[in-house]
Order: sequence, then structure tokens, then C-alpha cells
Amino acid sequence: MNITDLTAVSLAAAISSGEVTPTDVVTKCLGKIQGDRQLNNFITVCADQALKEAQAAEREIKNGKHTDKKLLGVPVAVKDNICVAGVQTTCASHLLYDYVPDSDAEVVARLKRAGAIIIGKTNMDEFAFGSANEYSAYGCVRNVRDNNRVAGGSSGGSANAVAAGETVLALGTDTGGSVRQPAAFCGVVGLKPTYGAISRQGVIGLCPSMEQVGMLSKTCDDALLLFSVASGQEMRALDGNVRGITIGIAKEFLQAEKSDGVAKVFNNAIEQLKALGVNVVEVSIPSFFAGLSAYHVLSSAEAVNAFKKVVEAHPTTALLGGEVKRRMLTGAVVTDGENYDKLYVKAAKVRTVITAEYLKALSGCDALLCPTTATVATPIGGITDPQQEHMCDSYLAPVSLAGLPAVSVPFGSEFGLPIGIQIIGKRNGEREILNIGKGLMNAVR
Amino acid sequence: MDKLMTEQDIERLSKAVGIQVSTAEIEPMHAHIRKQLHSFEALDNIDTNGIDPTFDLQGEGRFTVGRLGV
Repeated sequence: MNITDLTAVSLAAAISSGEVTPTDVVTKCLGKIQGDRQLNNFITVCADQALKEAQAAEREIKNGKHTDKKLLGVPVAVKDNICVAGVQTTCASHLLYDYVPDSDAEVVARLKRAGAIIIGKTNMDEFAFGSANEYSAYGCVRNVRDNNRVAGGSSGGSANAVAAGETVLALGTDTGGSVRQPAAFCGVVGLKPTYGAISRQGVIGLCPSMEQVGMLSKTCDDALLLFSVASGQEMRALDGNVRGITIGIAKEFLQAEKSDGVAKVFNNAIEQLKALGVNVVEVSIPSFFAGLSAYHVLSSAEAVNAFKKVVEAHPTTALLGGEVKRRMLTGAVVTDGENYDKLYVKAAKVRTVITAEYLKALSGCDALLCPTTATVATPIGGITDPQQEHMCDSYLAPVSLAGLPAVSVPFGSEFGLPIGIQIIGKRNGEREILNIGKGLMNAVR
Repeated sequence: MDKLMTEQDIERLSKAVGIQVSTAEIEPMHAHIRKQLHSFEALDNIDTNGIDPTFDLQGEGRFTVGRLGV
């Protein structure tokens, strides 16, 4: 068996039964990471610690003390804005190059209690500002599907590491699409849970009203497992049965910009769901096209507000990359003088309107469906206008404004590059959207 | 919307928030922010009369960001 091809669910079972050892798994993952260094998925690889934890896991299995640990021996990569005790946490910024937290983020502590082995800290856009993982102080991440393409961002390292088989599971963070978008670009599953479902304690984030820890995995079953451990919620297993459910397609999603390949795949996904017995209805989110603007006003305002503490502790902000500076200055502009009411308060009100429209659309169906992104992964260095890069989040950011759960699942391709379909659910509807995702992914196997 | 944002505004605001911006960075930063402001005009298309701007942080309270410098 090729260990690095296994899903987390099957790997956990194989470890528990003694078919494979945690040391075998960790050794294989470390070998993969070393062999794929050109992908640049990791900022820090926790090789020694991971091997020690693997040996400790083997002792637990030998002593029969492991039965309640759902992730015992399973490697998990952690985005480098989520604190892991004793491991440098840089947020991919020169500003934090020497920051080593002395405690785990709550979500990491939960994973460790479940027996997970932290394999390393993944590359990302600096302070999670970016949609391509090109804005890292540690260099860009190269998409495993095509090394000349971006992996997406800001959780590019996490998504790409799962796609490359360097880890079985990964944590990312998603503020305006930063788990879902790289998941789509790398051909893996990316779940952004309901806002508030997972603790943000120990996550270095700058947009407190939107960011959420998210899950990257190969399958929807794996995403459910990781979400269950991270959130502490017990979840019924998925069955992929979607017969009789209702999916809403907003007419604005059909009007919004997308490549020919993405349009074709999206239409295929709709037809596939109909063939599986799903009812498809048209809904409307009239303010959808203002969502991206509202997101950028609000996220930049929150970021510049939250960044005050970072600046106080690390005043040499000349070390910051250009995108972080752009976002901070945008935040300053939208909260300065008259702009505060004209832009920030206006955007906040638009957020309330958009949220109500999403909830109204969802009141008549079980979930909404749209493309995750308008295009496939772009060439590295191909987008030089930051404004153009922001357009990557057009289907994603409005969902973040509403705090709703959403998952991107791989479905189809264009030019050999994966395309993601986004399933948006009701609040606390993680199991429902993952089940739809499983049904969709099963249909193309 | 402040379409007359100048490069001097960029310098002033960068100092206000403690972000060091070099002389070479001012002009492209100014151009980018003016483009951003133009894109934010999409917000004007939405009727928000009587709408509450605060966000419920799902059990952590109501949330808003204050005016710069206040």
C-alpha cells in the first residue's frame, strides 16, 4: 500500500489495527516533503518531534490505550498562522521570523489530544493576505499539478501539501476564501466551517469577524473527521446520498464571470446532481456583486485595527511585504474621516443586507451551489495587478460576510488543472454540505 | 467617496497606522488605492436605509471597528 495515498479515515483504521505504524507514515511523509522541496509547501518541518510522537503513538497502541483517539498517528500540517507550542510561527512574514509561541492554539491542542501528529507548519500568504501564495516572505508555493502555476492562497501550502501526499490532513484559515480557493486550485477538499464553530484562540488573525480555521483533505469523509475533532462535535458518517434534497443556484452565480471551462464544469455538476435525484431551483442574491467590495472594505478596516498590537511589538514594518502594506493602508483610508461613514459603515450595512439575502435563499433549499473560483490556477507571476487577484474571491467572500459554512470539492478540470465546486450551507450545516460534496465526488469516480 | 486622495494622504495615513512606506512605494500604493476606491463604488448600488451595520460575533458580542485615530 502507498501510505501517502491513503485517506485519513483509512489510515487511522490501518494504524489502529497495526497494519501500518505511525513511524512508517511519518517517515513516508517526511520523505515526500524532502523529495518535493521545489513545491515549497512548508516553512518549518517538525521532523524530530513528529518521529518522537510517532514512537509515543506506537507505545500507546501496544498498551491498548488508544481506542478513543480518532487521529492517532495521523499526520496533520498546520498553516503558519496557527500557533504550535515550541515551533516558530511566522505568518510567512519577516516581521515574526523569531516568534516561537509557548502554547498551542486551541484547535491544535484538540488535534494533539486526538493523537494527531503535527508534521510541519505550512507556507501561506503573509498574514493571510493574498489569493495565490505568492506574497510569502519564504517564497511562493508551486502547484503540484503544474509547478509553474500558483497553489492559491492564502492557505496554499496546506492545500498543496495534501494534494502532493506530503500530509494526509491540513489546517488552514479562511477569511475571504483562503481555504476554499487553494483547495479548488490544488484539487482537494477545502471546508470553511460556520463562523464561530472552531476556536480562534491561538490563531494569529487580523479579521476577527470573518476568519475561521478550515480543513484541507482528500475526501469529504476526512474533512468531516478533522472538523469533528477540531470542533468537538460528534458527527454522523456521510453516505453521499443526495436524493430528494434541494439545491439552489443563484441567478447571479450564472451571470458572474467565469472561464469557459469553469462554466462547463459547473453546468456538468448541476446535471450530475439532477441525475442523482436532486431538485434544483433558481434563487437570487441581488446584492451578490457588491459582496467583494464590502469584504475588502471590512477586512482591511479590521486588519489595520488589529494590526496595531503587532506594530507595537514589531515596529520595523519596513519588513512587511507590499500586499500587507496595501491592505493596511486601504484599511486606514476606509476608516479615515468622512470615509468612515461613506465606506466602512456602508460596507457593514451591505454585509447585513447580503447576509439576509443568503439566509432567504437558503430558506427554500438545503444548500447553494456555485463555482469556487472563476478560473483555474493562474501562472506564477501571471497576475501583476493586485486588484485582479482580488477577483479570485468573488464567489467566496460574500459567504464569509454571512458567516456560513461552505466546502469546495474537486469536480472536473480545464487544461488539466482542477476546478472546484462550492457548496454553501445553512449555519452549522457542515455535515449536510460535506454529504452533498461526497455525492458529487462519488459521481465522477 | 474621496476620489481626490493624494500621495500626501498616503504618507499621512501610513504614519498614522505605523506602516513604513518608502518613497518609491508611495506612487504605486496611491494608484492601487485609487483603483480600490473606484471598485468600492459597487456599494452605492445597494439600498441600506435603516439597516443595522453591527455584526453579531456568534456569542462574542456585537462588533464594529472605530474611526481611524479615535
